[in-house]
Amino acid sequence: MIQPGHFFELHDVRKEYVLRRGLLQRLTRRAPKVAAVDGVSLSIERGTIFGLVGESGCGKSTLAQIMVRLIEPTAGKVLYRGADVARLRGEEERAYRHAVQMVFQDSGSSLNPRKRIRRVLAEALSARGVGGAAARSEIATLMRQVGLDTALLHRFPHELSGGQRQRVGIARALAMKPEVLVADEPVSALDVSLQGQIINLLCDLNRELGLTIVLISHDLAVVARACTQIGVMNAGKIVERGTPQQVLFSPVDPFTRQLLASVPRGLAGRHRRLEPDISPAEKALRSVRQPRLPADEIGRQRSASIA
Amino acid sequence: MRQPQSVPPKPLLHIDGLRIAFKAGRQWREVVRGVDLSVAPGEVVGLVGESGSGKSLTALSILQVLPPEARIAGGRIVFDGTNLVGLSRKAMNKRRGRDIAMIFQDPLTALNPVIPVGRQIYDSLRTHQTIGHKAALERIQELLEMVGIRHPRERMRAYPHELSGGMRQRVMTALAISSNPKLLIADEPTTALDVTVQARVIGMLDRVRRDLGIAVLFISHNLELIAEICDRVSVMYAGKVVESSAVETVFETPRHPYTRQLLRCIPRLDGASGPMPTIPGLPPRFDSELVGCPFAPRCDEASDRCRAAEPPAWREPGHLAVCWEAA
Repeated sequence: MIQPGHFFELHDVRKEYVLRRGLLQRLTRRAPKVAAVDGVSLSIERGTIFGLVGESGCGKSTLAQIMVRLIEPTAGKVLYRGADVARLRGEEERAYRHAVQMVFQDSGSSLNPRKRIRRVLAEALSARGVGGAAARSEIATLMRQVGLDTALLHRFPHELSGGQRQRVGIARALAMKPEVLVADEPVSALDVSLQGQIINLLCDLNRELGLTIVLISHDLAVVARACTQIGVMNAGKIVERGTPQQVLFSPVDPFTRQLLASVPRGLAGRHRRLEPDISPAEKALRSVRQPRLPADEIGRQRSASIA
Repeated sequence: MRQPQSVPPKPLLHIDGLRIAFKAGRQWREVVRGVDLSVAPGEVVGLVGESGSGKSLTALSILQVLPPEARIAGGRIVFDGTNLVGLSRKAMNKRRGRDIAMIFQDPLTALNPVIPVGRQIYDSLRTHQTIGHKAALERIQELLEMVGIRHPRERMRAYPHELSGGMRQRVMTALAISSNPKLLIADEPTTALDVTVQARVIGMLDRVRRDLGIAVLFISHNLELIAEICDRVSVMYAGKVVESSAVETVFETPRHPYTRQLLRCIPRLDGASGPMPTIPGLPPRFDSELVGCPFAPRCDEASDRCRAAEPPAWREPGHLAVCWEAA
């Protein structure tokens, strides 16, 4: 399915975490493992916006961290322009880290609260070796690109609104002249009236700079609006992939259908809530879904032992 | 809303001209600037607005659990015939949790982390009601079953952190309804949850309140969710109710431009592409001086009149909009 020479590819990527339950299990090395990402293969074309949708715990953020190499996969390969990312060293590795940038959900905690915006951007630029007058003019350009007034440069992050902070987060990523932007829930902390502004900004950057964007969100409607391709993730796997039209109007996977059915739909959704709490669809879903670890399972075991 | 047409004859909760001030440095700034709101027995009223609109402070003021830097600066909160504003701490304690219960966005901070959830419900039952030990245990199981928790006998021994987000919200609801309240205030109860879990929790809330006939004040920024479960809705902007009516009216024939633009911004699963609709600009900061209509700087229908003077309330039976252009 995946042809060589593609822009950004994931080959059967896995990330396992060991659940440390107790001393005995640790000693006998039989501690159970959970696969946060369970064999994901993807090919993202250059200059597109790829949407990754799923619920909390489905592994979408883990996948994002693997893409930007914040964490290494347990198995599988990430290929960037045909090169195995895990084998990059020295200058090549640095080039990759610059080329693939991340925008975080909570720009409030990803920006140093004690540094003014100018310094946040200047530091990013200095990582690329840009300083002095060149940095000053580039900072002005970055601010314009993300639609911020340069008057905000002397502010601290807490003096900005959530939307403005998110724009700073994007500007900081752009400072590295990236090829790929991995945006992990960039709008979920924002009010609905501001979400569109940030999504539109990402779309503009995609169009104007040819930036490839991986947009990760739990909100199917937001992703469907902005992306050319969507992957739906559940329990560490991509369960559905297609264009927004395909995913919204002819979903194949039961989880995608459940996701679509759960989205509130205003007046049209009135009174549909009166159905019994546990529907057959939900039962089907539960059997598909990996047990949500650790909360439910451990809770039960623990309660049993206390009883 | 003083018009009797929109309000059933005897509201359970009637908020009248509520003002809440917030401490900004040395001075107090009004962040809730004259809110009128009423909830009839058994009714579900939605309160919608963006962050900073004052919706949560309004909710907290009903139970008088405002943060220390906020205080009620005026108005009345009449619950079941008694004005709660200025009530003694002792008298308020009697009502809090018994007549009026509240569930929050984050159950993990609302539940005690070191006490099993069943014990927390037990304590609430024994505090608010004359109920024996055995009867209380049975009642806990009944309550947990009511909110859709299976194996309640086992689950009541669990600590909050051992439960998933949806489960915790169910436990908090069980705790809230344990004292048979007349009013349940739900402040963004599903905002932290996944949509599939949200759908189930909302289904549960709707069933529970129908079974018990509880009135609900449902606070959310999610208009689509409000539309699904509320009878009436009030839209707040910059500390004021700017539009209020039956939920169908607000969604089908909104009179306030803010409501209209907010409705347009909701991302929908309609397969539309292209730029997303947005409301330009930002809501006013709580410490800024407001002249004229606070929404005017972001409004595409604003005129000089809107920027100069505060708009009057436009009223029709059962419908209110605070806008110069609504009339």
